[in-house]
Amino acid sequence: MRRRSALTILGALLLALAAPAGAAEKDYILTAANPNKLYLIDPKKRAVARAYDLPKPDGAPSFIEPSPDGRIAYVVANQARDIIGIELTSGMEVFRAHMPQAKNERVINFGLTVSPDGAKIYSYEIPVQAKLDRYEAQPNRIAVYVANGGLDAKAEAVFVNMPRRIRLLLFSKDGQHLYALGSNFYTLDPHTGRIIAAYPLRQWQEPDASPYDMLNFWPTPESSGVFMAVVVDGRAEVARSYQNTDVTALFHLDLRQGVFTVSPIKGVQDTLFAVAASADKRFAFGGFRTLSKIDLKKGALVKRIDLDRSYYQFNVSRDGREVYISGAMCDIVIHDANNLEKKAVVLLPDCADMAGAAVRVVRLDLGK
Amino acid sequence: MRLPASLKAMVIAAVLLALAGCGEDKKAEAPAPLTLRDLGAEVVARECSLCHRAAADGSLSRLSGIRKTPEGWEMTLARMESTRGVKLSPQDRRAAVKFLADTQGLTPPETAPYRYELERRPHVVESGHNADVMSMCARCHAFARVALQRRDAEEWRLLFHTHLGLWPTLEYQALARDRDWWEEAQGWVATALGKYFPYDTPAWREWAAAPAVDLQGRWRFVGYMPGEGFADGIMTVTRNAIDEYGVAAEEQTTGGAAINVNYAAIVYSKYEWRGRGKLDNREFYEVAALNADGVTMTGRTYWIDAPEVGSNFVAVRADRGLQRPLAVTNEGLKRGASTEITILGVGMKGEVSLGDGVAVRVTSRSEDKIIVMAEVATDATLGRRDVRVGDAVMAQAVAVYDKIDRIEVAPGQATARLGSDKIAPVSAQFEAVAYASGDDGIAGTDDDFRIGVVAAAWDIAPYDAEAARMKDHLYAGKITPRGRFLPSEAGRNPERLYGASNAGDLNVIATVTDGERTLSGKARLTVTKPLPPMQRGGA
Repeated sequence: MRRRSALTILGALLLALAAPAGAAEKDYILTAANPNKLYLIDPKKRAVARAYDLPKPDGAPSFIEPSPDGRIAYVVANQARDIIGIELTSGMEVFRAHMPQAKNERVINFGLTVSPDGAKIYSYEIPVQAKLDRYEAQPNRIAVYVANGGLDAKAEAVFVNMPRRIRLLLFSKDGQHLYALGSNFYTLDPHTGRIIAAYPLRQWQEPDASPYDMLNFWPTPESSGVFMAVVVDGRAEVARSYQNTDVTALFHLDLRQGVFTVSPIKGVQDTLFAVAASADKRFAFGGFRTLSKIDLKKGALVKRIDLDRSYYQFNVSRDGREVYISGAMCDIVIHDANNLEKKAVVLLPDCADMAGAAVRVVRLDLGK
Repeated sequence: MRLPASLKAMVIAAVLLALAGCGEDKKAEAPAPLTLRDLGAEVVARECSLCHRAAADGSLSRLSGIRKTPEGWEMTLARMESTRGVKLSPQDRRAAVKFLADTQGLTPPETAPYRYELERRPHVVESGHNADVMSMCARCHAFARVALQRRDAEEWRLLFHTHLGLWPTLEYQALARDRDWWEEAQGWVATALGKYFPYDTPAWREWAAAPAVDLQGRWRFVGYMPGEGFADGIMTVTRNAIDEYGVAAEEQTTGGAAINVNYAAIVYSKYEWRGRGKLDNREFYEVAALNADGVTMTGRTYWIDAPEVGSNFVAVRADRGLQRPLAVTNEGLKRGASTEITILGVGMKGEVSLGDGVAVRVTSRSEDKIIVMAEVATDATLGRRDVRVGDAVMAQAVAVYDKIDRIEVAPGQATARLGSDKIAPVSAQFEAVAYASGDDGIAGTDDDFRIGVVAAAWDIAPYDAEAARMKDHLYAGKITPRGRFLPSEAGRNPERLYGASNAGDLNVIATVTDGERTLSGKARLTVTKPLPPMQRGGA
């Protein structure tokens, strides 16, 4: 196993060296689909640029975190039991985490990020030991893997007794803070796992308002450096839509400055499943059955349109001109970020089902 | 924790055999035929003890600390097969369920409040429990599933570990992420469940020591299928082995159809009757409880491929000289009118009386069935009243009324599920129930009384503005003239806004004519996605 991984890495290095120097880097949409597919989509050509087969066993590829240089896609696959690193230029599997740390331990990943230098992979893990006559749920943990750990990478460090109900890990751009986001929000020291700050979201105290409810699976900070998530809270004084008293607010975390805010958005009446900020941080785009454009300075809805179906995920091109909408089924639609008009549809081959797979934007040189 | 003596013996024997290398000589004498329960004891000792370690007293770890219904044990074994690699032959599995339900079952009072779950009655909205316990447990499955088990607090705690072992992300769901789900589950919730539903109780010890029953003989039964009406007949129960019976049923529906069917039944835990058979090649399942009187059973028969369609029945021993009216087919008697009613019962002898102001003319009678013409005087007292046949009384069985004041649609809140060629749809049956407002003429007060089920014209409409915008009533399904809602196909519908599925939020509206007046009532119907095939299945 170790030998194979060393060979793989060597192969990858050779391939990287062999790539023509100075070839233009381009932006691609990166997504996955059932049962074992990973795709790079060329948004300019409105076409799939490359398709990859994920290694066995198959099963619901979901979370995708690109390495900071865009070269490797870390994919959570096999019903969240595997973290697989695929080198996008070569298509080779270059990383696989070995998550169980004890005999009979069953582990799923429920949060993944890569350090800004690309050297370490942080994995939020839910371990359960399956003993002969019982299961024993273990404390949730964050395991740190070395990115060049190969195909049987063992955790280099483990932070035990992490807060439960965490869904996302994110890094500050300077690499000094690790953020853990779930029903509450934590800032951790990435070297020790020490909790530096814990912010209540679920226990948020505000007159006439319920606590915040947030469940976000798909971070999309790559164009803006801002992580955004939808927050719902109930407010006694507001009862205007069929959603009764629910108000949509946005959780806004600037990964460069390390500042976060939660602010209500006026005029949003539809369900927002996910949301992404534009590169200039002026607008956010999100939705479910509708696409909403939100002015972040005014904290208000600018425009909304009906979509053809319900979608899970929203991302924005790095130049801010286009919105990418995907998730569930096999069509990725591209809308104009200015007037929200539909511009193009990209269909995945054989109508592969994206289900809950992430949609990310990576910049890389495919070498041809 | 107490261990049934037979299990203790079997476990010890199994352990000894294992220690001895299974090399004992077998004697050549003919063995007595094993009962299903004995076979079950053997299966549990042989298979379960491989992982559930035996203590010095012979008890098996975890297993001996749980009591469940036959369906609960069936589910446990299914899970052991799907997640733990256990492989049992159908007969071994049947036997293990029999043994476990007999020796670690529930008492009749323990199951009584939750029989709707065992009988698979549709549209039950559970209530009356601690709201936080309901959120912790019943946001995913029926609370009855919890309440039909008995464990001590520590064993409830381990069950929550099982939950995270099988569904590690359940803490992230709505109504879980708004609290410290795991910490609460391990803390006060397990403690509370151990108090509400403990393993060891005096009542259980007493029930465990009670003698077995013999249900052999003739039983008279009357069933009612919502939307279809009554059926009645005789079932002859023959004992094939301890707790195993053959049933020959002769049945007659109010529509006039005659049905003869033979099937098999098992009695678990001294009162849990489970029948299973085929009618016109379609499988049915029968779930009933022998009541404390020892001579009546109440339960429900349903189609295994459509558990929401079924008949609620009562069965009474017909070989014990009992005299009892059991049902009246037409409970609403209008003042100044003549109404034909049929009284279904057992051993009915003597004069039929519907009380003052109602003249009774018997047009046909046997001990099982009496047809009468009831002529109600214009000044007869309004309200519910008894039906008497000889000395036997059926309390408040009919109503005398002058006009219908309101219509309620039952059930008031219902769920139907879309279907496909892979997963059958789940239909929903409605009935229009007429009420009178009583002396004060005000609906909803204590003197209101039920007139009974009445014929109605049926329609569906959007429940609210959002359902109207989505035109749910055009897509979700259709309602038959008999009030059965038949859902549409599952999956994306490109014709709909957003390409939505045919899910819908509807009002089901019954329109009833009473003389020259027209009244209507409504219920809410949620038409939602298909059930996973495992949950759709029947028995």
